[in-house]
Amino acid sequence: MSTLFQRLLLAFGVVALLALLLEIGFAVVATVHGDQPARLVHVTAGPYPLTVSLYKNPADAGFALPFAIASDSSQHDALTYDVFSLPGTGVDATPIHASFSADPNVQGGIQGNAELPVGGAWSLQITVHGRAGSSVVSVPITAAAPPAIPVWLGWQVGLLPFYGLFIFLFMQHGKKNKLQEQAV
Amino acid sequence: MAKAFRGVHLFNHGLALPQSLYTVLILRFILGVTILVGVVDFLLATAWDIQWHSLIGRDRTLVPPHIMMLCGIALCGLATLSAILIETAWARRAPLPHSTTFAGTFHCSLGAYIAGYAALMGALAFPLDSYWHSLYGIDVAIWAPFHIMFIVSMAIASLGCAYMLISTAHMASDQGKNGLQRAAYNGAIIALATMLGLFTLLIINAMSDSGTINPGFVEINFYPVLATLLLGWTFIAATVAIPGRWVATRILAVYLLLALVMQGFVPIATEWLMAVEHLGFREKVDNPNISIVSVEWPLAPILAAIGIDIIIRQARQRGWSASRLTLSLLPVILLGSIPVVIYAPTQALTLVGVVGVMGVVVSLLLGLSGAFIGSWFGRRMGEAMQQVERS
Repeated sequence: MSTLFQRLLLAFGVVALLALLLEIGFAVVATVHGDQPARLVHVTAGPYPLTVSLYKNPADAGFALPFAIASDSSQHDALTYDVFSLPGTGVDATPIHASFSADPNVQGGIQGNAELPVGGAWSLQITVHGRAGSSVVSVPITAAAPPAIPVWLGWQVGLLPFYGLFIFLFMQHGKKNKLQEQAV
Repeated sequence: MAKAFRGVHLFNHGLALPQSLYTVLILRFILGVTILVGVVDFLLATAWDIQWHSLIGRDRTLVPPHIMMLCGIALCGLATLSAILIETAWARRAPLPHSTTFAGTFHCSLGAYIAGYAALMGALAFPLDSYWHSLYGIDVAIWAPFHIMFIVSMAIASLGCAYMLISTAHMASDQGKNGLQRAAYNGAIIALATMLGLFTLLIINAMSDSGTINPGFVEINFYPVLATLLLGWTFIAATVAIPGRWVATRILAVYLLLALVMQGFVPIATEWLMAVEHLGFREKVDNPNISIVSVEWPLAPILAAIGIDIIIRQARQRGWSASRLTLSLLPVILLGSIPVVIYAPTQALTLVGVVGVMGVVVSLLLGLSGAFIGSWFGRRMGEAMQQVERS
């Protein structure tokens, strides 16, 4: 393999590594709650009035949607929550349990991230458990799919390791021929 | 003499530093084994992930099977990066035989570069796969661009690991460390079995309708050609590169052991995670209490592995010509491509029903050409492995 080709391969590796680090950065940033919610929704789950803050609207499919839930009732100390993102009709996905923890800035509130892996209509299903029993409410949300690349391009990128493997195997053949020439 | 064979430096003047080289040998062995742990981890995690997707659905991006897969990729990436940086720094202080120079700057085992690039490709495939799912839903087939990208990447990382461990065995042999040489060769056998296992995740899909096409005149199934390419390449390369008897059979034994480990691990891990995540099975899905991948593990490669070992032994003892050896190996490799799995021992008959007799004949002819190409590549790669970074 020529040194020039090796250097090109090295440059490709560096660019690929930078792209990977950038992608990790985007994924981490997506989970960070902003200063101001992009959308505020006031809903009532049975006897419990709630304010749901969504920090991205529409949400980005494939990334986490940061959210916060605050109770507007006086008995918020006794409330516990369960949150799922539920796919709407026609969205090829399954319900996903959201991860959340207590919101340090809001008494009785929670903050967390809901995953929306597929673009389309979803809802954030919030189950509230309190002294007055359990109730469920859904907040409709939309996950915007990223711009689609052509399927053929996806395949070409996906098959890159295969191409690399075949080039390597052919080079092994060349290497053997070279060894034989040297032996002669 | 310092001979640069496209970057392979072989020093045989009096600059050897036995103690230092022993340290490099140990370092390469430990990092090679670390990569091996990474690829085995990835294989088990992928089997778990397939179970999770099939029974529960693809939910969070960082669900434990995905985390486990990423840990395997990260382990490979970090181990190869460490190997390259440490050996490069070493080579600047003292001559480092048994190493390959890359881009005029780096010094390390050829296998480390292969595994490093493969791990990088595997890591890149992960966000690309999330992107693909966000466009096309969670039920994307296993033969989707970025599924193939990360499975093939990690299979190549296993191949890099085998190269690295065979290079370690050559170093150990030169230094008279026979125990380490045996351990490195055994590691290479496990790495090649893992590579076989990872490629199997892709080819088992061909046993179903997905592997059948109709060009207009006959139904053709691609499983025989894919299986013979894979078996011929892997088994022949291993028997050429690794000394000793029953090399292909030992690879096959590890390959079956990996399926057993999956069977022990995957159903328990899936039930545990379902309970933790408060999730249930998908509609119309019952708990099979088995690892879906394990029960689809092809069994006919047992015949191919044993047959290849017997034939190669006969050929070595009786000095067969290369063409006679190839002609003897082809039907044995083809035998390994008969679709037989534990849950459906008569899968081959089902396939006859799907593609018809003419389809079977064409599929087997394709399989025979796959056996030829696979064994040709395998012999070349085995010879290159046999010579890799050998002084």
